[in-house]
Amino acid sequence: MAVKETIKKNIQRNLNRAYIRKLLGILARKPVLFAYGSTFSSQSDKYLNIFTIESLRDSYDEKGPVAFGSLFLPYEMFHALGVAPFLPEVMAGFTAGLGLADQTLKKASSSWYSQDLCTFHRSASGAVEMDLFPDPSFIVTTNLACDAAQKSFYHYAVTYGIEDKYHLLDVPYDNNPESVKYLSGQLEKLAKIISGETGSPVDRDRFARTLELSNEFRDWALKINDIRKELTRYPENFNGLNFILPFHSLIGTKKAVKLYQSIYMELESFLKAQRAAENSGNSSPKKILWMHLKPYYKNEIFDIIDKGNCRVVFEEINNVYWPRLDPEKPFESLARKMLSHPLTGRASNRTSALGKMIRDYNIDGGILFTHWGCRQSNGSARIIKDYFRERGIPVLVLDGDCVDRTNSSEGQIKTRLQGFIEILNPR
Amino acid sequence: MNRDIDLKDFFPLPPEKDRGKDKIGWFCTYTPEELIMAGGYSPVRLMGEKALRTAESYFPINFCPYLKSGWQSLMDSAGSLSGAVFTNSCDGMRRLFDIAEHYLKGLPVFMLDVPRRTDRESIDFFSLKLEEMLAFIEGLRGSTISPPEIADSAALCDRKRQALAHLSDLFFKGGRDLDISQYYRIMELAATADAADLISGILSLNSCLKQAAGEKSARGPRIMVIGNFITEEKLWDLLSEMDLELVCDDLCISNRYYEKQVGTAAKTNRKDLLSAIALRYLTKPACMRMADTGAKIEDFKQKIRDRGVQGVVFISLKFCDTVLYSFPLIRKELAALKIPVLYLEIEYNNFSEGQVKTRLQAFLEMI
Repeated sequence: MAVKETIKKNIQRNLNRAYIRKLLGILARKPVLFAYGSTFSSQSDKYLNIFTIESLRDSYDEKGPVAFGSLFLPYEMFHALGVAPFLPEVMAGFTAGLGLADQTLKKASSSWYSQDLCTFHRSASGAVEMDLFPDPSFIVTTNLACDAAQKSFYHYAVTYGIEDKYHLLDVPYDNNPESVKYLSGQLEKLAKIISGETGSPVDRDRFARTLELSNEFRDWALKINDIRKELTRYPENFNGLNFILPFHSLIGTKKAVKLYQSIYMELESFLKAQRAAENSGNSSPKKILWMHLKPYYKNEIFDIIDKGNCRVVFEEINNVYWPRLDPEKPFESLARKMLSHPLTGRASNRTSALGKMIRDYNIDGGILFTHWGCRQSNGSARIIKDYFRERGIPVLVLDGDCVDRTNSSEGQIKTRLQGFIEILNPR
Repeated sequence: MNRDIDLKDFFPLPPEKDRGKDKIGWFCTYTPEELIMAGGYSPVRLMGEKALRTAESYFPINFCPYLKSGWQSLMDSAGSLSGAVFTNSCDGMRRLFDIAEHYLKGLPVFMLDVPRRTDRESIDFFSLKLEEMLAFIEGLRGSTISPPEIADSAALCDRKRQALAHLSDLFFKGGRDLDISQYYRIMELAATADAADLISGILSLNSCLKQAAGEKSARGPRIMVIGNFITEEKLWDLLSEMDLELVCDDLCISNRYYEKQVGTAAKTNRKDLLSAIALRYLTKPACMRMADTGAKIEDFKQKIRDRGVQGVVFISLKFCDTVLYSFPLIRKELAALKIPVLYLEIEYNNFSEGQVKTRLQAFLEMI
């Protein structure tokens, strides 16, 4: 813990791009990286941190083309084109974890980003204004799930002087053959533009290999999700809401496969131990489905849940929602993947997906974290609440902020969580 | 309020219940009214109830006030509507559609998917979506809509848009026969009134205004208003009273509604007509939801140059993400042109008149 705290404090004191690059360069050196990895209590945490550092190092090195991308893009395409992905929204989560969000949010406010906007995007925008991120060669965004990235990322493009390298993948509302055609056409066009800029032609074999790796990742992720249908005892500090970066931007790489394979192995061993303990008569906790994201700064939420004989057994964001990709039809496959996301189109796409999770994980209660300014998710809160209630499952709509700790009431969250836990565990 | 002109003389509109035609509600300027009219229905923009009763409980507190108000309107008027058309224009609108579909079971609703891009593929894709919308309306009326019906209604909408454009030209460039409140009152009427009645009223009004036409005399700084769905009468009254010249705007209820024609001449088959309508709607003055923020900012700059704008009043309804995310860049770009910008965020039903007045006065003094 001391190492991590030291790193955190050093970044806080030296908050500039050169220092971040230097630090990542040091941390990503093999002996240092594995020594750092060994400070984590679980294999899944260890590989998560190692691969995250390597991925960030690749972006900050700027040895090859870097593309800023919003969440929910098909990052397989970036890897197949040899472009290092960099996700400002995920970085905003890191600003919260590293205690930097007060600075980035302040910068965003002074740059006229309204305080009513999502803090993931505000914090990322502040970081861009502070020049904390690597220089992008391209900026790719999508309207999948929400409107925010397509607007804020254009501003980034102007800031970096690359407006002509800003690209929006416009994801249609419905998932049908017309939409697949429209979106796959955009993907193919974008691949040609990027390959034209980087000077390496679109390599169909490389695309096929990347999509095969994506499928391999998908298989491991499904196996993990399968284990979790029974698992309630997890490695220390395991939190399924921490895997956004590999789940999105590493997909299509060997690293993502290795990470998810290691998570599977670790969780499988915990499941065996759990089964042995259950034979000795230990009671199992109430199973909670977590919807949306969580606060990425230090907080007590999950300790309170665990201490209340409850356990988050699945998170909406870990749902493997997309069908297997066809390596022979990369653009069509990736379009199908984007269109099958439950956050596209109607709220009923989301509730249908949640319904399957409720059944698969035998859910006792749901928590919808309503992150400040997330219109697309919070706008469905009433429908989600009613969906749970109609099925007789208690649900808690927990207001808060994933990035800005000053915009969350710790006391109120605690009180509401405790009340919810009492409902799940009546005396 | 300009007492010399009484809008009732030009727009003696019958009460809604007397209009005769069945109504279809709509919300966003990307909704092609011509398709609703082609089906024999009267398109009525749901302007939103200022007083919310139950609508608040369906949405989070920090949610677009127009959409909440629109939901209240929809709940209140559902019995008098034959259907409602929504657009996939923003996250908020998507959620409004979900709420309507989920909780207003008896009302036929349709979601029109509107692309954010304007390339050939997007126009073709939007044409397919218009075909779906037409099928929805045909389903409501129980019979096919013929190409001449589409062409006639598009032509009528074009005439309405031309009349509004002419009126705007006279208003922004002409004398002060019409004040700001009256101008925006007409713009609101345009989205709810019968098209033929409205055209006739505007033509009469335009002929009166023409007589006093000529570039506005300097009454104060030349101001442009940019915003989203702004229908706050108190704001227009305030602007009417202040020493300023409103010389152009970019708003959902104004140029984004009336600029650009469909032009259906020589188009006789359904596919060509829908393609022309798709082109008009995707290339009309854009909402900030569209992908090309750069082009939008260029439009602003062009207007600022053409109309000699000295200051911009940027007004947004609270929690409108596409506008709020666009503002920092717009402000930066206008600052580079040395154009001062006053940023106002307003509620839909809780306008803080005193505060806005003070800020407007200070802004105008600064210019």
